[in-house]
Amino acid sequence: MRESTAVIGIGHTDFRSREPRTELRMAVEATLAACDDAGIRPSAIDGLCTVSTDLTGENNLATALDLRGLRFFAEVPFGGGGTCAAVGLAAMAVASGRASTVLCYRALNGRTRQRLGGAQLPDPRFVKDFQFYIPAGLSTPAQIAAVIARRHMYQYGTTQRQLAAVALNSRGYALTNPAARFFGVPLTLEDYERGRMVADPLRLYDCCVDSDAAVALLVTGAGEARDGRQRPVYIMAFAQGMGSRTELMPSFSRSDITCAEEARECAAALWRSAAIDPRDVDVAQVYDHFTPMVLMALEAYGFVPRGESGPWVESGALGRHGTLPTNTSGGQLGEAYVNGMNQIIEAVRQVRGTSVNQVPDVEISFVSSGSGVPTSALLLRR
Amino acid sequence: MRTEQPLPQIDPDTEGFWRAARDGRLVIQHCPATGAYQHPPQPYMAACGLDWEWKEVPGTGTVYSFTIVHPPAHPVFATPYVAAVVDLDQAGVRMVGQVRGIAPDRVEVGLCVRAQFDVVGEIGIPYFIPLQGVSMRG
Repeated sequence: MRESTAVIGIGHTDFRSREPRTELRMAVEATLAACDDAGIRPSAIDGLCTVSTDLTGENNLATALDLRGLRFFAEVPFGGGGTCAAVGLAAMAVASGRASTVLCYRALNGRTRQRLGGAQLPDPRFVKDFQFYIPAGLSTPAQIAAVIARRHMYQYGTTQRQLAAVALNSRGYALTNPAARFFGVPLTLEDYERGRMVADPLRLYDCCVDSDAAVALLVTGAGEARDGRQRPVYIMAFAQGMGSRTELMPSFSRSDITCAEEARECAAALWRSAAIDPRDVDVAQVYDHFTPMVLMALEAYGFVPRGESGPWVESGALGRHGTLPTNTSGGQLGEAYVNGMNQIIEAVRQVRGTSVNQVPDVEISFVSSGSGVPTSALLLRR
Repeated sequence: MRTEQPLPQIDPDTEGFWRAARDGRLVIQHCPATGAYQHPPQPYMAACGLDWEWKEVPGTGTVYSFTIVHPPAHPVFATPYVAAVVDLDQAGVRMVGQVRGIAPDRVEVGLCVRAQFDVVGEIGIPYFIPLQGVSMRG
């Protein structure tokens, strides 16, 4: 599969709109934008990929766009952990000849319908995992991330200011991204510290910004991509990882809950598949549902040794002039929470050279999906 | 909005745990041949397959990690409260429960605790209190 496929088009809805729209409507808008970007008609799409938590039925999207002759449609489990794998699955479908042009999409009314931060009871499919947590009042992703974060702080001396550094980094990039929810809205350390406590040690700005939005991208064979409207962005590698004794998302029975075991497994497969190592990456998009999960993912993917992410991030490593510019569109803390599909298209823009916060001379662009649940990651290249 | 205690959705693989807790007993899935414990319970244990048993354990342990929950939270719980992961003595497994009977800002990783139970209908729900120096009921 290696570099035999490419991303040829990307699109998204307005992340900042407060107009209520259906998820289907947003999926259509994002798809049309991706087709326009690629210079193809929607009728060229013959495959569909999303995550299983998406509420837009594949048949509904196909009907809305009048797609005919779909040959491949599939879903990856685990929501925010699965978005990179959805692109990887599309690439496998294309590489194996199952389809020629696969649409990957994620549409989510995260603000007006499914609040990540809400205390609602989870999806009935997950009740087995939550049976031992919900009765104790531990149910939201923020609460679970907080438990994991506190252990990282205990083991490694990670500080609240280091969590803040992750948030401030994302918000710094969002400040100059006109598409971002927090475009033009600065966040200072004082603002961060005044943010209300949500689940100690997590404060308001440690949590991603629930949004109503959709993101889409198109995958084809590398040959077709070279004849396309945009510079092709080759899919260099993708990988998945589950880890041991995995629950959604506590996994408290693992010997050490701070090492993002699913991401470590994913990382090993990813670097092996691409035959490169983390030092070869020019720019990264790391799934940022909560600030501490970024720290642990940076360690798991090998960008920084275990336990050293806090000081590294605090030193400015993820910034515009840092060692590893990260979450350059503002990520989900600053741009929008769309299960990281928006981070995947930012990884594409960085290879094209068209990001509003462009890193110079990007050859290899990394993007990870959510950790804390079974996860996935992608490497894209020029 | 629900305002009653959120209940576990019990299944035949886990029922023994919740029923024992109703009687104030903490039982953990146990392999009689190897002595291994497992929690949360599964239909299968790597050490002994399907032939596992419930074994009562002391219910003492130490706080492995925790969060102090502020809103949004389930409305039945008065915030702030502590939701903790506890390393259980003897069984060597981790269990989630609230820590009560101590001010939330005094809870630390390593705090020694023991299990208590809220009885709700036919089941019990474990929570923890400090092993020593209990000054108030949470």
